[in-house]
Amino acid sequence: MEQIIQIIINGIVLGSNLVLVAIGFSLLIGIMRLIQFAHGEMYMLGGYGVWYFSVQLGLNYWLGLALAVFLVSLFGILLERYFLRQFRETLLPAVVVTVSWMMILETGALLVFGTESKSIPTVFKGIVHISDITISMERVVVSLIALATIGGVLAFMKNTKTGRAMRAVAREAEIASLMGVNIGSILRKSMVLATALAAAAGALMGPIFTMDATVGVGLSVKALVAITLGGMGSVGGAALASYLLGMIESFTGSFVSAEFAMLIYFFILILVLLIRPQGFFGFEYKL
Amino acid sequence: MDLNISCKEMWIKKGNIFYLTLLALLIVIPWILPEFWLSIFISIMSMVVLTVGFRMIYITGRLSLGHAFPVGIGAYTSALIATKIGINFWICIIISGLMAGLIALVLGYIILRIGGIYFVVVTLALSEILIYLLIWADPLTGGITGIVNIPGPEIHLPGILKIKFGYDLLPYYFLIFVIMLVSVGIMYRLERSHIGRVLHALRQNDLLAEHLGIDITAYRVLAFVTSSFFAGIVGSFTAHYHHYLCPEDFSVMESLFIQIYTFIGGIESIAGAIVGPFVIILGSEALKVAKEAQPLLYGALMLLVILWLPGGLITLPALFKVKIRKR
Repeated sequence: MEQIIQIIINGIVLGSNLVLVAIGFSLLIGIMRLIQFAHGEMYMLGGYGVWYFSVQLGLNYWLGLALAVFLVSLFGILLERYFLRQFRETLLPAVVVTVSWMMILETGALLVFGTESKSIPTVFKGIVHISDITISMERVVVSLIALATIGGVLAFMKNTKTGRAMRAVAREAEIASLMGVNIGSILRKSMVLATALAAAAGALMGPIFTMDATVGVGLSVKALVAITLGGMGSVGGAALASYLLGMIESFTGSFVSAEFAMLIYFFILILVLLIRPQGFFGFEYKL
Repeated sequence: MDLNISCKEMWIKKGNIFYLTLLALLIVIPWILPEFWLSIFISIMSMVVLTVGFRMIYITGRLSLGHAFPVGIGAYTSALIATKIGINFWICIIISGLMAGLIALVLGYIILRIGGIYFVVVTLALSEILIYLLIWADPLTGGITGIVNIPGPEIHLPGILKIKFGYDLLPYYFLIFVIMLVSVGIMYRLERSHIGRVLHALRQNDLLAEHLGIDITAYRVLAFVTSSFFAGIVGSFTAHYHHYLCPEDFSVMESLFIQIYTFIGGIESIAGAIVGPFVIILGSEALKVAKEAQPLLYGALMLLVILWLPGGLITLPALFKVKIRKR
């Protein structure tokens, strides 16, 4: 029993690692209608940023996190304005652009920060005991922060004017613009939101998993799988699917093997796509 | 009508010049360039088969992010039957092509019904499944370390000719040259035929095509199977050429690069899909002087191409022509 609970908690942590990246990816696919393969690199940049500010410069961890998120979002604005906007609603050209950026950022990080992986000292020391189960404090805090952020994003999408406009653009950009939504501004805002979430995820996960420059590709692919399961453009679906994937990874990882987890992952994905192509919560995109 | 025909004839002539120069160059290359270059041209020519095949699926309106999948199937089929059973290379290469084609036939009928971004994700998932299956089936496939000591091909005509393909590159160079010639030739003919017109129609308006009585899935499967068959053959060639293979050779990055080569070359024509690998692989060899920064420069150059030449490198001469005429 304890083992099962331990595995579930582990699954939640693994899900939290993915969920913030997946939400942003889902927003981008929904609103910009392109696959942003460089999205995983934003996670990597966030992690490296926090490492640079808190370890190299010796700043406070939270200040470092804020700075990293701010800088990466700024980069996101430029990326969206000058490289992604004209490739909206295309598949192949967008793939070429974002993969180019993926290579540039990955190599850039390798050149600047070196090949060895970076570890960031943990901020939350201590261990939580609940009867027989032990969890390290930082995992609890990070999972809670991830959950709170999902709640925040969901509330933002549901209740604020910008959030509603984002959902409208995701559904039907042309009609949204006829109703007075400024598409350009919505694109920028959604890119900032998505990039900031990914960078924050990298910064938060830095102390738990070590950070290295090649982490981005795998994460982008995983996020793509998660949002396809959850439904493209749907924040709640992406979150649910991320935790589901975390659970699958944790359970099969501890009972069978890590490779088997990935096999199950992709089998489920193909089954879902064949039966319900729009995913759990999505609506069908014509792209 | 007359105008059309003359334009078409002119185009064919121009196209012929392009293809003939390329062929002549490729035949001359082993005698004028040092042996080191042969390995580069071998990888270029195997990539050309893949990009032209990828384009074949693309013109039916489906973007495959798993073109490394049939390559992997071909490579592993060939390597397994060659090392475990000891079958002759020439039979292996045919079997691996047929195997890749067969799997594409079965899967194609299921997955080609899904369109757009969902097809991208399905093909991505398929190629990932292949990799993890290969890693997981350790006793058979050697897991993550792969298969070693795959025998090279051998031509043995009793009394006339005996060539053993060892570690000498020249026989491999001509073998892939012939494979490229045959496969690109077949795919070129296919696209210029009646079938090719149907395939193009599928991308432009598959609903209309369906209403005209065309079995759209069957035609898509045809394109998918053809390109997978040749990809399987290239996979088999690569396995026997490197004498070694591992699951990582068929990762998502490989499929992404196939897409990029085709797009940068120019996805709208076969010539573009041929030019892409040549320019990019040779260019990236040239960029190797930058050592670790090479992928960075490479990425930056790709950005430049897509921002200023959205039709791909193949449109570059036309661009110059227009500018000259304007003056």
